[in-house]
Amino acid sequence: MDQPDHRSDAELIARTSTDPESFGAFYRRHVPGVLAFFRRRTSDTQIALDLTSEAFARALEHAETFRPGDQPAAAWLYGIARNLLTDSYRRGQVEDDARRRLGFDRMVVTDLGYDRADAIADAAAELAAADLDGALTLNQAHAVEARVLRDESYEQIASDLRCSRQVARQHVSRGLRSLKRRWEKPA
Amino acid sequence: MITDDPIRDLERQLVAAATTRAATGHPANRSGRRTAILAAAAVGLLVTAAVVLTGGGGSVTSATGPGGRPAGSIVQAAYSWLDPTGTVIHMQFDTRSYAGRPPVVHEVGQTDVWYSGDTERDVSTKVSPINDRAVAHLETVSRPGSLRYYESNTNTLTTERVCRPRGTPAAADPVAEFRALYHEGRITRGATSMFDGRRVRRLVARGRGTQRFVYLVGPRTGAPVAMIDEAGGDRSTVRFTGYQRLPVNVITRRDLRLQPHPGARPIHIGGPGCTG
Repeated sequence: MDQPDHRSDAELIARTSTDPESFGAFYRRHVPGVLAFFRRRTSDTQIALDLTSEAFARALEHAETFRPGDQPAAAWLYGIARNLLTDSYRRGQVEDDARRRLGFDRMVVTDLGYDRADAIADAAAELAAADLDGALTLNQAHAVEARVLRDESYEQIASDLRCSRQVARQHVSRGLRSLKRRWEKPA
Repeated sequence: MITDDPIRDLERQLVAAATTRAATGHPANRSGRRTAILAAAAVGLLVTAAVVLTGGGGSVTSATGPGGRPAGSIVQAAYSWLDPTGTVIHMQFDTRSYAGRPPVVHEVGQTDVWYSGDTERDVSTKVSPINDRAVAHLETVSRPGSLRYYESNTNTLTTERVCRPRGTPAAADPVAEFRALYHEGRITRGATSMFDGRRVRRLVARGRGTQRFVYLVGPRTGAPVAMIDEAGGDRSTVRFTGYQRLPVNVITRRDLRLQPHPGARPIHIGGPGCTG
């Protein structure tokens, strides 16, 4: 799938030590999927958010150990997520070592914040399922993800897809229509 | 940090941490641990909410009250929103009362309540359910041993002796009712449900007699959303529309006093439970 930042995941991680915003781009690209991954396995948005924070903190700490040839960056990230989940099950609580070392402030999430996180995880799960079904084209999937999950402007989406603003809008609206048809299709 | 947008705030924290690491040659792993501990100490205590993970379904054992303070359970979190210790709490709510078979709206009201310690002041407006016009204003101040209330429709200012046992709610006050039930340990955590289009946690209590009391709160924070009080087929639904924790000072103490009502006819009566 195309991404708003044209650099690959591996490039973004490799540049983290000199360009911190690169890690932000990597995070934006993967946070919906990671959040949905944890929520599906814990059935709890609060725990899923806690795990997501710690997983990305660990990924940041270990960014320099990532070797692009070994495996795709997404597989590396989800490996961190799986290990964290296993550790947390074993200990009965979410680890926070990486966040402590990085000096993160504790986040107290309001109900609105949880609703937003839920909406993002819902949309990521639905998009992933639609992607597997082939319900969306690559451009549509990117446009819907950028607009709905990352709240990006049509100008940004048009720039990412190297198309006009109007075509970017069409990708979003057609993608959403396809998703709607998919939702309405009887199981 | 209280956040409405945890996804963006997490990104900010990650980028800030990446910036620090880039500037210092990522200290956490090498000169590492000491610097990190100092950094953590500098930003204050960092505590992750303790959670218990169960296979396939996590259950939260720690909820947060007002200001994000940890409160052991959702019931305690709900109580901490209503606990006035060291503060004046100002809440606003509207009320709809239903009665009859089938139940129909027979009364609508809008209320401001301020309370601190043993003192509580309510200012409410009764509204006609037919044309939404205000039909009466009622101002009540309740203190241990006395109840004073002004009623606009009769233009009377009543002072009533109150001899009920300590801790018993002064009147049909849902907030005081919840606090009394909490102290009796009668509130239990119910399921989540929807109210006004949002997800809420139901806290349920059997009240006195046929009374059933349901308090709807934010599912994780325990913030007040609504209270439903049912007794003998009648029902009141209170929907919270405003909440403030105010400092105790000259201005807020004034909010706890009955306002002057010149020309109101004074009435003095003995109250329920008073003998002699």
